Amino acid sequence: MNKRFPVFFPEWCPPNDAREEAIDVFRMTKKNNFSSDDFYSHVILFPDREDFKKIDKAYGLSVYKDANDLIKQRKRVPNLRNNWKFTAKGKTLPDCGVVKETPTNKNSHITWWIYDGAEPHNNFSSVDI
Amino acid sequence: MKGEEIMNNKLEIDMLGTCYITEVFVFYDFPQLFLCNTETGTNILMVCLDMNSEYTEYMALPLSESKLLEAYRNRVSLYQLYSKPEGLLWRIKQYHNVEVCEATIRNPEELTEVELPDEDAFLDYEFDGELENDETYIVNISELEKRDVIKLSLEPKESHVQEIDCSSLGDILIHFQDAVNSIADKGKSIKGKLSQDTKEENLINVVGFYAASFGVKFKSNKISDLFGETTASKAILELFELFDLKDNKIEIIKKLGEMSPKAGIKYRKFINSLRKAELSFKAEVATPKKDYINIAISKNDITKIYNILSEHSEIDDRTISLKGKLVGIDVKQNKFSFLNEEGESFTGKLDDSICDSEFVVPKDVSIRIREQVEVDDMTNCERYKYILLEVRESK
Repeated sequence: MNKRFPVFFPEWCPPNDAREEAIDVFRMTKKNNFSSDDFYSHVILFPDREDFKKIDKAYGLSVYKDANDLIKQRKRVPNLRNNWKFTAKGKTLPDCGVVKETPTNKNSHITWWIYDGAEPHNNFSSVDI
Repeated sequence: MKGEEIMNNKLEIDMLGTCYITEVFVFYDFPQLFLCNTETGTNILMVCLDMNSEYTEYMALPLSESKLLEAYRNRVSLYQLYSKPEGLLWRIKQYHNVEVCEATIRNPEELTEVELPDEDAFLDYEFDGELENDETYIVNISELEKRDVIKLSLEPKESHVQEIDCSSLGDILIHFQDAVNSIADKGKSIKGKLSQDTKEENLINVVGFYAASFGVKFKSNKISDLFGETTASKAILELFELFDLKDNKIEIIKKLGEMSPKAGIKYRKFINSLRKAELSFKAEVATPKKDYINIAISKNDITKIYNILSEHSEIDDRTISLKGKLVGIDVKQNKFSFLNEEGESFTGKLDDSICDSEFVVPKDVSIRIREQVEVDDMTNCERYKYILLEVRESK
């Protein structure tokens, strides 16, 4: 597989300091038996939405190193609590893309920009937290 | 998350106008809990309720500065904020292929648990690396809104007291605006009265208060021109450059010497209002042109500046040349009366060097006079005195 990003990624995305690194992370999913649909970035899922296209994080996937951060965010945001009830655990394998720590309020948020054609969900499995 | 990256983003909402995203508290694939600022300066806390292939829904909660401060300090939960709003609560529907979001009023009493955050969820606000970058933040706001932005953090008694008495705050705000006006008035009106144009061009609005000892946020009333300057930018920067000189006597006198005498007087009044209130302060200033000033002035600095301004009356003293009509001379009482070309009247005393001269009145002449401005420290009233130094025939 070519390690290339989708053609519609702007030149400033991912940022220069993003790197390939295998990190154990958690991601919220909509279904317990999650699929590739749970691993598409916001910009890929909603190409018509212009409002967040200037945010490099919106081109990547949100994952957390610390599962407690997922719990905390679900408590705060009804959309996450109601629609992203399940959790998958896996690794940000270098073959799939590049990562960068992008915390909000000092949490463990990481943005993972996925290479074109990569299937990151294959490295994840459902967990209960 | 703050700064250029996020400041480029906004939501257009039919009932609320343009909402600029200023802070993101939860980012999960996209901002899901974030703060917006409307063009009128209202804070709106947005939380994502649902998202599907067609639209995204948010709950929008307008917040006063004090309520926002409570939220920042975890004194009120997100559940309480949304279930007991201070005013209206809005449900926002954003169709993904439509630019303007639809807003409808939501009755808080009809809210279901599904629409609310958990009861024990708080904003849990902590400054991270990006949030600490206040320079980027304020400069971006200024550039985005094309207005000068000033954040003045007043520190009563050099502590973190978050209250200030009405008269002190009123005094400070009035003298702050006066100081900017007077600096801007350079070379325009000779006498004390400011022109209406100067007042309008340099009008500064208080747009809110923020979390600081006592933080006041200002924005220029006018927006910038093509070159990124508002009509007030220059005077605002000059005022804060004066502050930045602290008690450097030589530089203060030099800088004030380049301004009208009014500027020195009004600056002293502003300093006096801070001195009387026993305040220290921190200030950040940004202009749409990306000028940025960040200063901290202690209570001690303020006293020293005030003493310098009071001791050196020569900064309120200048010689000016005028053209007009000499309309009266009283050699017995050493008095003169003069009308300049704009019709302003100047009366005062004759200098010793010319009191034995012969005068013809009325006559069109050029004169040189010394203008002295005195300020009563108790009442802050100004008194202008003029001394006629020289009279020459008009060419």
